[in-house]
Amino acid sequence: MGRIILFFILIFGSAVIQTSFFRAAGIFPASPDLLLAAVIGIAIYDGERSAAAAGVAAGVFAEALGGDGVMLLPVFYLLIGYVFGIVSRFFLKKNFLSWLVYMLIAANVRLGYSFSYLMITEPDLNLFLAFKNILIPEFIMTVLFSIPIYFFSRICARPFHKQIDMD
Amino acid sequence: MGTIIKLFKSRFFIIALCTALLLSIIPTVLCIMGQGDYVRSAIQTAATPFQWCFTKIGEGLGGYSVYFRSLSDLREENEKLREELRNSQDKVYDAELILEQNEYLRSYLGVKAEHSDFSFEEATVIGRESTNYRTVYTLSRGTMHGVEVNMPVITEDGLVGYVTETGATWCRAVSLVETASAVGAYVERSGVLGVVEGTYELRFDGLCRMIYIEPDSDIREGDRILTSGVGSIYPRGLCVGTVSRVDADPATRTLAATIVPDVDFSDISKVMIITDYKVFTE
Repeated sequence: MGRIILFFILIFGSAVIQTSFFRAAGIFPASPDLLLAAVIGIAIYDGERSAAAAGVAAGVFAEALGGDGVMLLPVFYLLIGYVFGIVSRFFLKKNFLSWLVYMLIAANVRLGYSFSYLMITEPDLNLFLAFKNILIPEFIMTVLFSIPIYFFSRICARPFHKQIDMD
Repeated sequence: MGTIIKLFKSRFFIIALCTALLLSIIPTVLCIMGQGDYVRSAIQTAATPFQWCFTKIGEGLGGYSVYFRSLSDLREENEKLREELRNSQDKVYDAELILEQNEYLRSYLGVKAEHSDFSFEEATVIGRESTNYRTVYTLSRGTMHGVEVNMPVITEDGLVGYVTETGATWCRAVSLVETASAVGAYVERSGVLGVVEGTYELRFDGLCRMIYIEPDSDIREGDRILTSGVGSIYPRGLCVGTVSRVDADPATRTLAATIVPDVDFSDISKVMIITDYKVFTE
């Protein structure tokens, strides 16, 4: 139960910060996808099932707090969480570098998702401007600001896993 | 690989995927139908205070960063304003110089009009006595300009002194408050004659004295003193100063008057050297 509450706080907090703080500050070129980092963090340290559930919740929160009514993110985050949870179980170790590799891959997937979304919703999309003003800043911001989220997710998972790799 | 495929076929994943799809499709359909999404609304309501807090923090950070971002703009603006101020100050300085020159030229013209029989050579004070004697001036005109020793030096206010030394491009003038100076003078109101000379005691106060005044002469405080033209240096009618005090001189049994010169010797920058004038004496 404690784990669910902690993960809920992590996901909810990330969604709130992502949809309020970064937009209000006005100094960042784009708002990062903190939920992606949180879901991957949970996937690494708590497994694919928790990550899948957290992914669905993340998608719902993201759409509820900052979406425009058409909800696709629950499926997107579910798949991210579940896939990276399985990958981390069988392949790389549970440490920061592994998380960073997953994060870069996930950020690229996210870039692809955003690009597809833009292609569908914006018929006259200028690709150069889309990459310059939206996609690349979002990618960089997501990777940068996901680092503190990684540590939060690790802290949240730690009490429930005695054997977390500290490498 | 088989294990991984099995994981994707697991009951959990299928249930989670279905839930996600339902959570995606139902609100989307409701939204398209124009119906309110209660889950979404509830989440938004719950999140509103937290979003408000983080928005305020973000705005604070944004405002703080704007201060730093605008700092460079302010620096640039400040530099521009400094440049403009410098230009304006230069203009004001130039205007002041022109004004000063204009005033001087007006006075010069006035003096010229008043003394049409005089020939003037305009000069600037380029140096003063190197000691504390402040009443000897180096002027910017010399023999090249027709300046000779013993030529009178005046300003628009009155008599300054006379030229004591000349060079090709400079000359030195001693003021009438110097002890070496003596000027034949008279009281404008009554015509009483005397000699204005500098004294050691009065020189440092910028004053001089009129001596050899007959004991029964009509001279009083406030009388204007002009040059009488007696002697070979000064023409008649130049303003010397004003009587500030009249005393009896027991040694010579005459009267002596303290004169406040019309010229402020501490603040002379431009003068006129009278290079020629018609001799006319009483």
